[in-house]
Amino acid sequence: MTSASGGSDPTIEKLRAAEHRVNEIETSRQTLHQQGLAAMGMTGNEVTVSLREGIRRSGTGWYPLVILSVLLIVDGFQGTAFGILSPDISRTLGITKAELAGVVTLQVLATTLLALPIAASVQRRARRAAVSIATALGWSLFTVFTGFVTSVYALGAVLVADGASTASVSSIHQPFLMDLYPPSVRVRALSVYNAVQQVGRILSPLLVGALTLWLALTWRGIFVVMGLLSLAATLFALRLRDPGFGRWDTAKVRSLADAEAAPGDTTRVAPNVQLSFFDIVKRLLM
Amino acid sequence: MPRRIRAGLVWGALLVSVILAAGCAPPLRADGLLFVQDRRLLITSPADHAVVSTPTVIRWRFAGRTDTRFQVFVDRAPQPPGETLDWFVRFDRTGIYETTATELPLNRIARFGRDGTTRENLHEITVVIADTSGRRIGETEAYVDFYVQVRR
Repeated sequence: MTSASGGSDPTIEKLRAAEHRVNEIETSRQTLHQQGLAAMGMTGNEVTVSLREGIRRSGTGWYPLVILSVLLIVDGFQGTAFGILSPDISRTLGITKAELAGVVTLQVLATTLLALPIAASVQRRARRAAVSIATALGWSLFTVFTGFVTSVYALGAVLVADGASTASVSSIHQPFLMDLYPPSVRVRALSVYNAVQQVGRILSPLLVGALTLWLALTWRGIFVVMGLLSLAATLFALRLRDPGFGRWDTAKVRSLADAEAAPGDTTRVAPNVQLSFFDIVKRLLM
Repeated sequence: MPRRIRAGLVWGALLVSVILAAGCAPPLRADGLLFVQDRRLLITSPADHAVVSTPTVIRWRFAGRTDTRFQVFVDRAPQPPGETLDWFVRFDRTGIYETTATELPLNRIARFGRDGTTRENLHEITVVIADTSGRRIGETEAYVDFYVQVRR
């Protein structure tokens, strides 16, 4: 039998030790469970604020999301119009289907190959807003120029230049949005951006159809109008500003760690490591 | 030279070279270019995406000069404006016809596809206008797509 005090009963001591170990195991199990969920990305609050409220709280506002989405739509103008109007271009300029395929291939190559240099150009300095505006200006002008070409060489040059400026969309826009919005609304902002792209894929052919039917424009007229519309959209993008790298991520964690560090405690303050562009590419590929 | 200025020069040179490449020989020009559809030339038969059987007659109407020549291209692109049919190499002039009339009988059109179904036999006719020396005038053109009924 156990005594009332229970302080020296070896059986009770053993039971308490066993209970303690069970609790430790349970705690470890729960910790592992949480870590497992975290590793799979299944963490975070189950209840989140609305997108409108989240964007309001971020202080960034709707402007960058709206204007980058609009730039994404007008960027698609050139490609969509060229896809639809290539038979007309072929008949006007006397270009064969093989030549058309060749210039389109060059354009795709330019878009693909120049995405990396453009990403590298903004890797050291946060100037994604300036590059986005400059490239949008570029593709708008090249879309207008497309309406004035008179040979396959001119068409190739304009399409390659347009492809080069378009490369900024794939390499800059989404990282730019990631740094503009906090994690609580970031994915939804990216969803809006990608949804707008689908809307653009519907609007662009409709615009080509409307300009052909209602304004009776030829392919030249359509490229000029689309380029001017793109130019107008670019003018609205002039207020875009780059918030800097990792504003809501590394910069926030770093500021928290710095705030918690005791005065003179340098071990809590992580060094600001700057990886080169090719180091990042190497780590991604390894 | 500061890096920023150097980068600006490189981008500027790139932009200028692209504009020059687009604008030189033949020039980037606005004269003679057609920005609004020219509806003086219109193919009246066959209708767009109609199914026809060969022999067939292509008909069109033109509200312009009476001494105009018409060049008809079957399943191929015409020559650029200002060029004659000499633009095509001599041994590659299949599917090219020239006439002063506003119709052209077509006895046969090359069959496409292995099983030769109607769906596969989509053809395109382009008509452009030319002067008396056969030089293509402007960018005016009319075209129609149609299917050719295949006889088995």
